[in-house]
Amino acid sequence: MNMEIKKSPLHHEIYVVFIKDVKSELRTKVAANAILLFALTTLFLISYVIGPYRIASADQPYILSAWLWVIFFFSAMSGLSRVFVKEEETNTSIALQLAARPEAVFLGKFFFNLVLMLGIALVITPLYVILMEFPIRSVYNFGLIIFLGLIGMTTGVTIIGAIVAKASMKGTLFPILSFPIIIPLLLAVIEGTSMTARSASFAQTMQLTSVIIAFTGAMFVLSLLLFEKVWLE
Amino acid sequence: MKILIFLWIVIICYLSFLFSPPAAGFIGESSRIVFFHVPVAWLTVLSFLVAMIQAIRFLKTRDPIYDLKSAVACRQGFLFAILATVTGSVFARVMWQSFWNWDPRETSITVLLFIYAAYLVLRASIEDPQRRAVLSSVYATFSFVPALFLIFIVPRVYYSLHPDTLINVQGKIQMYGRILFTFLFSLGGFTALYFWMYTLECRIEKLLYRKEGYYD
Repeated sequence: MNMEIKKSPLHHEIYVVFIKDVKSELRTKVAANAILLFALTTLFLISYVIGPYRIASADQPYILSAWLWVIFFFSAMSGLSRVFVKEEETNTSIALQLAARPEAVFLGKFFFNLVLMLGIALVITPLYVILMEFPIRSVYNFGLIIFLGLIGMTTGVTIIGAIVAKASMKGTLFPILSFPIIIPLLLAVIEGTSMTARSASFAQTMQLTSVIIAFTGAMFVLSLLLFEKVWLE
Repeated sequence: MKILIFLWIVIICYLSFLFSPPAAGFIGESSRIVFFHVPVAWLTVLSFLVAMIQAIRFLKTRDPIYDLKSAVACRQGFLFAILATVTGSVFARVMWQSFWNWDPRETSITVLLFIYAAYLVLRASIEDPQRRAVLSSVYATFSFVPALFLIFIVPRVYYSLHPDTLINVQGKIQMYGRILFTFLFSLGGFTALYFWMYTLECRIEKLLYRKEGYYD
């Protein structure tokens, strides 16, 4: 009798972890609702108090793109650590450690966070652009920058979520640890977003895009290498 | 050892205020701050590298002594980062009439400060020593990505008012004679001071660990 344990291929494990998280999220919808409500509340405040007409049109690109990313950053902070925190709270992390490889867990949860963030952005961004009358010159550049920025932010923040889940004061610690890590990314992304409102040329956006991609790539590789240490601790 | 370093620092003070002439192109005597600001900024980066290397060694060997060294480097790096920020800000006020203006270099040092602070908060919030060691080492290693961008890429890509560093884009040294001599003398002195501080605090931490029974 062959007692060798058969390992399923990595992509299948990633898929299973991803689907598991989607199913458990659909039961309670805690993370999605937290992020969405946070984003909507902030958007409501900004739109009600300031609206599109209280800012000089020359300042609009800068102020409006900074606010958009403030909304994204803090909404992400209110929900993206949930994937790891819930495993610790319900004591299911040990079962998951046995069931799947660390890389599969990381990638599965990363894709879950990414889908969550992109879904929220799909609701918030059009609303923001309409309510604040964000003067976009090139829709493609704008969409590209937002898309890449969200990927980068999720990459940097996912492993921090895993660290935070093992520590005390989880809620406060998450933004404190995440902020310094993704600041360079946020600066480049905000600059890029404001650029799409100032000129339609792709060449200028391209330069910032390469910075964002390089930064995201570096964080992604390092996350994959380091995640095992955090997860198996 | 400590007497030697003390004398070295005294000589640095003498050289920088009395021996070296003020540099051309700077307001009044303001250029003298370079003999203190640059070494301290260099030590900020150096402690960051030490902290990261020790963190990686810990993750490889799981020997608590490396984690302890990494923590010492971070604590001292935090101190140097504050000193570099304050001296830089004073210089900015004299030179450009503003304490703070988000120059690329000012941004970089602020983020480094945040990273150090976040690391220290993370350490404080975990009770179990083994878990604390693993998680803070991972954080120290991971924060290498933003540090790399901020220290080496951002100041070279974006336009900055900051005077050229010793290793500048053109790869030329723009200091001469007495100023260069004083500067290098001070850089060496501060580095020696750093290694003395670092080994001393590592020894103290090691003794405390032995006493509390966490370490062998």
